[in-house]
Amino acid sequence: MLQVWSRGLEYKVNVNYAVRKFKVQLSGMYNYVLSTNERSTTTNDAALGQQLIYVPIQNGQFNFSLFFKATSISYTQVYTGYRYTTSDNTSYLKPYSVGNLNIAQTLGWNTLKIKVYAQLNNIWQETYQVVAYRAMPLFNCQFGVTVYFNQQKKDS
Amino acid sequence: MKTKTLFNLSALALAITFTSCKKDDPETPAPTPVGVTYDNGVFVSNEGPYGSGTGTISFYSRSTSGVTNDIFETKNSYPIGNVVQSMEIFNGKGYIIVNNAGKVEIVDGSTFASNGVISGLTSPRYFLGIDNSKGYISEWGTGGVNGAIKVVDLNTKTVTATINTGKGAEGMVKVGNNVYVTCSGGYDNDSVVTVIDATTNAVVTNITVGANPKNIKVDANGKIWVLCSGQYAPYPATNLVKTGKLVRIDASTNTVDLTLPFASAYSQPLNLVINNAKTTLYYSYDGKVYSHLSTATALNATATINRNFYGLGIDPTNDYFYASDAGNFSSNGKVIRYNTTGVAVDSFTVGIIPGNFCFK
Repeated sequence: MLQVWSRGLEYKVNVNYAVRKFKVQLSGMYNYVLSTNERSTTTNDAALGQQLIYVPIQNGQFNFSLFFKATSISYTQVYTGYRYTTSDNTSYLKPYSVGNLNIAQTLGWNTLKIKVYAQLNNIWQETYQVVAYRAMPLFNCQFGVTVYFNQQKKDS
Repeated sequence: MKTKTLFNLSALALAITFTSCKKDDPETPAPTPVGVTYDNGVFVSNEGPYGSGTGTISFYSRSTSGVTNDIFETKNSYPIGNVVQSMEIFNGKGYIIVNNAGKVEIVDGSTFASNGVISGLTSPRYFLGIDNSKGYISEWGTGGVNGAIKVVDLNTKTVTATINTGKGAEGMVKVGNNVYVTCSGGYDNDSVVTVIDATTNAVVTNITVGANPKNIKVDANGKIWVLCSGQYAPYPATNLVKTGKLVRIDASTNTVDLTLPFASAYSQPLNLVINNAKTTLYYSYDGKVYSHLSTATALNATATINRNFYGLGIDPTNDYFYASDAGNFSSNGKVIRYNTTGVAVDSFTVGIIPGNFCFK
């Protein structure tokens, strides 16, 4: 591979809204990009003019976040389109769409701030592969605590 | 109202995107009809992409001249596994050697239905049937720097014994009651052919040949021909410190009776094959295919085919060459058929990295 030609459209939208004490954030992203192999070191290369392997032509993301005081809940849906696994584009991995949920609560004492969160991944139990023949986990979750020191005191 | 205009514009852009002219969904191949059998043809083992992915078996039918790809998964609904090295038919069963997965998939030689798995192997290379209940599998062992023959009970499909050989046990032939194993060095270097008594599984002797012997064939006179690919200088040098050699072994004395060294310090001779009459050998060397009569005592200067191949085979039914081109090693490869005089007849597309042929 000597030269790659990438062209397409990348689309992003962000909407912030506030209703009383609630803050709503909506964001969406969609990409349609063709990345093709334009020049090769060998003659009659079957990969010439074809989409690069493991590079999706389409992918998108949608996010909805809701904030209330120190509590936040956020939902993200990620879509990844067809990805070819051979350089002549004869085999491919099917598209997948995964939904993730994040719930976070921030607590504060004086100059100490603690953020407790739960990240729930793949809540719709999608079966998918990122690399061919390597299965990805179904529903899985992550819990975490982040401690911030020397934060500015804020009266709310 | 500027925001609204912008919003409308972006919505329009998005709408145009979704109505693009090019169809995004790749074509889904039509399913292969059930109840097919694979007789009178050639099985091509395709290694498959390295790292991730599976190897496949393609079948070329002599009667219809048609090709069916990925016949294993079509029949058994699961992929063979990572790096399909070779396939051998013995007593009506196909033995598919899966190198990286360390196993041998056994299939019915006609329907290709799964018939069991031999596991517990480390980097297996080739299969040789000894008798109705015994088979030998050559392997490179841990790290690819050991070498052994795994003795397999073909009825229970389990490994029953291990015979240690030189490094990188590779090709095997049986002459009389002895099995001759080339010790290719694996990822290291070696220069012997290990001789094993097929009844007792004991090592008879080690015959020193040239550097890194890989392919081994028997001619019509019962002489054994060994193609030694030579030894490279330590990386990053690209030259050979020991050039390739074509060596002949007298099976009655287990000694070398002819050594023919190759001149090139850069090209390794590979892919030794023999015709059906066992009178002419062929090999790849310096980007070409050369012939060698079993009676000749010097190497041929004129090539039969002026092209470099990844794998080479000879169809015993008509002595046609089956030569593979792996292309860029990450897309489907090609097999070109040549007649006995080296003229291309036709070609067909197979799976990724076609390396070995099994004629039925």
